[in-house]
Amino acid sequence: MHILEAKNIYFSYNNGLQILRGVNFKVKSGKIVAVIGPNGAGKTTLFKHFNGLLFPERGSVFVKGKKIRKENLMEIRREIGFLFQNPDDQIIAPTVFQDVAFGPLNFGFDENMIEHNVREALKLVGMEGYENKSPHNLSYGQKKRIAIAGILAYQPSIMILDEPFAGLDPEGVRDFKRLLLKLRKDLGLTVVFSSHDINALLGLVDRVHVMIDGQILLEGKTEEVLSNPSLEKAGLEMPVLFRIYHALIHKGVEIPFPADETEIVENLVRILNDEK
Amino acid sequence: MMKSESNTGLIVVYAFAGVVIAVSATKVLTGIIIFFFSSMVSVLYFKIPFKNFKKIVLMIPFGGFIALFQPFTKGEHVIISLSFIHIYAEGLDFGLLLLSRLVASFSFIVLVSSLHEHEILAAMRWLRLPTQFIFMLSLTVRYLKEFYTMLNVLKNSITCRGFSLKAKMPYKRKIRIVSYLMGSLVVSSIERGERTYEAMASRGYSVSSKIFMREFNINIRELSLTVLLISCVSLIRLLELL
Repeated sequence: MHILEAKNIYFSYNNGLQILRGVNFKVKSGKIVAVIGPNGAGKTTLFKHFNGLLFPERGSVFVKGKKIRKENLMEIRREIGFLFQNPDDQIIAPTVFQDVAFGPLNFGFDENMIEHNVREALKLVGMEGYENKSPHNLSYGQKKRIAIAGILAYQPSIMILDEPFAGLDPEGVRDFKRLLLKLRKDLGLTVVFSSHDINALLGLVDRVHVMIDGQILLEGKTEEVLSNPSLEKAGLEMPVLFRIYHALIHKGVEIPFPADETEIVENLVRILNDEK
Repeated sequence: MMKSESNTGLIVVYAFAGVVIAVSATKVLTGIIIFFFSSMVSVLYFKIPFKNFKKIVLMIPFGGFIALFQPFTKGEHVIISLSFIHIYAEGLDFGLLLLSRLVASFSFIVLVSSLHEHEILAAMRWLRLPTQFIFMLSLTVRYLKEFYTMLNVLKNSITCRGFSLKAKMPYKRKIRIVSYLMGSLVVSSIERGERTYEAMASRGYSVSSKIFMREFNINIRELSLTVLLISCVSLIRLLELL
């Protein structure tokens, strides 16, 4: 069974602009899935349907097999952790501890549980010791971690992240990738996120959905989708690794499909040695 | 456990606010003596940082000079007459009343600003202020700094493009540019407000939502301070009625 499923959803904003046009989307439990696409493709609008911030005009969204309705919103939001692009939109309390405790308190956790979960969540994101700090004095990357801790503290099954790599430096992106893999490994979380950083997807995601003009254009395993030439038609770029691979194939170099940089370098060295 | 200073500070602040209400022109001198006696006890016994009171004294001249002129301005009963300058009893009372209210108001500002925001909020909760009020105040505390940051970003963006209030340009144009800045700030704040609401809703926000605060108990020192200050305020009021 799919833990998250959108069936043929359509959505327009009040100005009449249709943002989603028949989107079908499925995610299996424990998977890390990326949604990529140009600006204005409808990624954030789609994500807002996953926790009932928006409701589709047509079609339905299911979380753990339950259709999202106004009546079960709290139950759904307890299952879905939503990370917004800008952590300053999300961190609302005067101290880190109070902010991370906001979700668990709303979902009815008792005080001891809240204390325990907040400390565990801060430990998971590497922010222990910051409990009494004011969020205003933290760096952008630290604020992102605090925003994630604010979600982890109420133990959702699925995390929806809107552009989690935006505004992070390369080291920050690497740290964030490690954190997402850790969350999947340690907590069995299902993660769905959007990104413009195609290179960051390699070695992280299981499946990729390409979205354009409110529709899913491509969907499949990471390597298949990211090496598909039609990716460029959608205004996106293949990862550098796959561009090199395609250039080599185009030049007539017989080389197996690479999983990472090391593999392509090793294969090239082998070919060069064979030619000697 | 919360630090007790925040509770103490807030109790003192409330007491000062009480003094502002309790003191009136008739028994003002007695009121002021009690007020200063209780303040000194708070400072010495409960170790409220003395620098806070230094700040209050430094603020007194801003408004204090108005009180200084009162004895010369109104009243019927002359108590001292120096040729054409008369000092009236009613004016003296009113001047002292004005001064006591100024000091109480400044004390309120200085003591509140010397406490950590989250400590004030926690102390407010302990004093059983409405949850919604505390929640709203905590959002204000959090976003006031963001608002200031946003203002600086916008200000820098127009400074980089050559705008300065000191620049040589028509006054009307300056006003128009500043109003654009304010307009952008309002629009950005509204947009941020919407995004923040969505983020809160995603974490289960509802009408009954509140900010997490650890429970803490009042200690004997704080209890005795509360009793002392409430007694002082009551005594001032009682003297009024006698």
